[in-house]
Amino acid sequence: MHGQTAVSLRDNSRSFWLILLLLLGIPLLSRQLLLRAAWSGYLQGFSMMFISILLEALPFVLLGTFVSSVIHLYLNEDVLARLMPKAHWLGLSTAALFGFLFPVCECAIVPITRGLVRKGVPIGMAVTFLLAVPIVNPIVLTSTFYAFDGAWGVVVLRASCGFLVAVFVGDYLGRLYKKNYPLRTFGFYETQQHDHGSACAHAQGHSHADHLEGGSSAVIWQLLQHTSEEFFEVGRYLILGAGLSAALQTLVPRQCLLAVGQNNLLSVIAMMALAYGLSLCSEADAFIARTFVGQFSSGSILAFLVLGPMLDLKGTLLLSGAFERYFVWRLATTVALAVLGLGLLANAFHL
Amino acid sequence: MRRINVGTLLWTLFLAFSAIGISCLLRSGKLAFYLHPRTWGSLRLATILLMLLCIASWRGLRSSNGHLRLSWAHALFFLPLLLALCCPPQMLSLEVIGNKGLMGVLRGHATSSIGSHTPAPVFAPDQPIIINSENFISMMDALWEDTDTYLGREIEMLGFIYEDQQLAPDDFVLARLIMNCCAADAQVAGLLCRYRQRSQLQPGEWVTVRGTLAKMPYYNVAVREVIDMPYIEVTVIMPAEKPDNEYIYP
Repeated sequence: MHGQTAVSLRDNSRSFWLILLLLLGIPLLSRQLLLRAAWSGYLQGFSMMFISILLEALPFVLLGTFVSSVIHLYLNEDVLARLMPKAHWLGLSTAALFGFLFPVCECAIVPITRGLVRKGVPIGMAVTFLLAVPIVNPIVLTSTFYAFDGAWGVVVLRASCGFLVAVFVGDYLGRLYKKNYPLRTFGFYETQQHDHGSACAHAQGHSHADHLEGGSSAVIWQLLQHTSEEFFEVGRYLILGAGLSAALQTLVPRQCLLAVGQNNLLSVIAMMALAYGLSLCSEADAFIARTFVGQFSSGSILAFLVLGPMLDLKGTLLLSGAFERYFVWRLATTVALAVLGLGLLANAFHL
Repeated sequence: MRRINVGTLLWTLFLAFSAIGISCLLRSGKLAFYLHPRTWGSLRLATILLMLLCIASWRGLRSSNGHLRLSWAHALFFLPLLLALCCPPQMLSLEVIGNKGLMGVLRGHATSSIGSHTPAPVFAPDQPIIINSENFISMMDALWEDTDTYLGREIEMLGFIYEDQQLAPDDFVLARLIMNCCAADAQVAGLLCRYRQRSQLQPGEWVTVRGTLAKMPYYNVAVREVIDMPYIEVTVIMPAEKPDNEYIYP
């Protein structure tokens, strides 16, 4: 064991120096930037937004990794398989309405979905679950209701469009990935020392509840350790996503979007780009969408409300950590096209 | 003796530092610069979980399982911690607020979307209307909805000076930032002010403005018609202390 660790240390010495360099370099660099008045405002604004997005998402990402670890360690595939509806459309609809039982937002949903897929939930249902839960859930719909001054129409439209897109995309991707599961192997499973080896990475893994030994405290520590490792894998994508989104908001003025506000096609695309880039929490995005009413076509605002929770910069990075890149690309383009279609439809009927 | 795994050690340190950092922010109340107080409860739970994860990771440090490989991700995790240390929490800078634009300000119902339905306070006719952090949202709603009721009344309001190229040379916005959830979604809201000596004012400066409430026609793109926009005809501007909470939390 001693030798093995020593080897892995030597392999890692380059990253070690890189980390050390960054740790020393960033404070020096930001010190310099803060001294220059022209830059300090941007750096300060970036830092505030970056950290606030992280802090906002942190409880939910932790919840997601915790639930995913519980699923991974204790949920039995056979029980899960018995509980799932067999009929295709019924299964998809159940997955889409699961948010009423389990209202979580888009940060928590990615690790949970990954955990479920690993336990053998079909890709179609998993995708529908992933897309629908952050929209079709009581918390998000209530905040939409408040944001739009009690306009039921907006709430109903948002929920039904979210439901439709989620079921449609779930059905489509479910057909494409019937047999092969597009999961990525987590980095830490590759190390030999990991307690349950590479079996975890496979969808047909087994329930670990069978071979958990020791008292209840040992079980809890194992659960926490698994959560910690999973958080290590997921957290990096959260940080990348939050950083990109904050950088975008620091550098690009929103005003430059305004010019296309009433154009039927361009306004929808602009609002979708905004929803993607801002990576707002789905509990808060309705309040931002409200400020665009009147300046942007109604279809584009609907597109913003439906796309934001399903697909954004932060979420895409989280997804690409959990699933194969090509799968994420397919998922993103299908969702984007479906939402674009709905937005154009809404514009055509002047909703 | 078994050697300590550097990857796991750094990860344990990260978990510890972030738990300590968030606890400090919670204790000092500085977290208000990042997040709406409504969300603090979930962050408290997250901090406890972070501490537990830290202990779990620490326990794994010397055992044979649970080793993390050292990678670029470790550096990434320390980035927000370092940034938080280098840039102490404060209100968003003017450069960034400027990026968000004036959208929320110069429109009818700038704030009525927020969902707070507290009625506006009533001021006696001979008393000036005083707008502060507590009644900001309800008063903004009232001023926009019943502009005529308040016409000609003396008004006093605290805010910071916000300038925009779209505004006329004598105009500025006496602004506050509204935080719906986190600093990244903060929006500017406020009242337009007309002041002859505007050029003497420093953008971002906190001031108390005293003046009379007037109205002007304004083309509202939201309803595609000209509506009355309330504004302050400024008589006096006094420098003011920053409020304890620079943001307004609906």
